[in-house]
Amino acid sequence: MEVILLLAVTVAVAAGLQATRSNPLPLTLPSSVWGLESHAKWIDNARARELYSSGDGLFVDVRTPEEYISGHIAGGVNLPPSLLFELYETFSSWTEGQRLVFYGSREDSFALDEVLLELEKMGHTDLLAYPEGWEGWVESKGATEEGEDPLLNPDGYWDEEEAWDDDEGYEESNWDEQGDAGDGE
Amino acid sequence: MKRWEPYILWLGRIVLAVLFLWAAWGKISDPQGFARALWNYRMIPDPVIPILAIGMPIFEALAAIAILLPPLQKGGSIVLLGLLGVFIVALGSALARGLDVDCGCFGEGSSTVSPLLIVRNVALGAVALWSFLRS
Repeated sequence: MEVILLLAVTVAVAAGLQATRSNPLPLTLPSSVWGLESHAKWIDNARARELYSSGDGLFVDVRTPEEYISGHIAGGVNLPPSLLFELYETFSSWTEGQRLVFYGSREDSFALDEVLLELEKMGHTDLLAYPEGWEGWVESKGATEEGEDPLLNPDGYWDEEEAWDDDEGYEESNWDEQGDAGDGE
Repeated sequence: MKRWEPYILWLGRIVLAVLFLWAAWGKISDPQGFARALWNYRMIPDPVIPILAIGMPIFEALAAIAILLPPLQKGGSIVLLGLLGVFIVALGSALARGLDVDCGCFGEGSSTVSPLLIVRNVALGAVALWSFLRS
C-alpha cells in the first residue's frame, strides 16, 4: 500500500516538474540523440513550436547551405560546420542575447553535435538542441520557408540574376570588392 | 532487540536517506545527463529511458524520506531494497559485458562502474533489509 502511495506521488511530482521546467526532458527522443556529446539541452517538437511562437528562440540550421536553401524553419539562419569558423564573428554579434536552438537532420546528429561542441569550446552555454530536426518540424507542420541566408553569408548567397538587374544595371555594391565577384564572366 | 539496536538502525536509516536524497538530487537536476547514463548500460529500451530518467530519481527521493517516517518506513525500506537490487544487477551486467561507463549513481559524471560499487550497494541493501524487517 505504501509502495503504491509512493508511486502515485512520484507520478504527480514528475508531471509537476515536467510542466514547470523551462526545458523539460522530451518524453520521446530520436535514436540519433544518444550520439550527441554536447551539453546542449534537448527539446522536443512541442517545445520547439512554443519557442518559435513566442519568438524566444532563434533557430540555427546546421545542414548544408543547399539543404537550407531548399527549406528551413522560417526566420532561422544557417550555420553549417564547414563555415562555422568563417562565419563565427558575424554569427556571434548577430545572435548576441538570443536563445539559440540548433537543429539539423533527424537521422544525422553528427553535424549538429560538431557545431554544438565547437560553440561550447568557445564558451557558449545554455544552447538548445532540437534533435527531431527539419523532418520533425515539417511533420509537426511548423512554419517553413525557402531561400538564402544573406545575413550570415553575404558573399556566398547572392543570386547572379538579381545582381544583374535590367533596370538598374550591374549593382557593384552587391559584390565584395575585395573578394571573388562570382562567375560573372 | 538489543538496547543499542534502535539507535544503530536509525543511524542506518539516516545514512540511507541522505545517500539516496543526494543521489536523487544529482539526477533530478540533470535528467538529460541521467538519461544518457541509463542509455549507456545498453539494457533499457530507448522509449523507456526518458520516463525512467524523470521518474526514478523522484521515486528514490520519496522512498528516502519515507524511510525516516515511521508510518511509511516499511514501504520506504522495501522500495530502497528493490532499487538497490536493480542497481546491483545493472552494475553486474555492465561489468560482465566489459562496459566502461559512468555508473549514473549520482547523475552524469559519477564514478565509473566497478566491483566496489556493487559491494557498496550490497551493504546498503543489508541496511534497507534490516530496516524493513524491523519496521
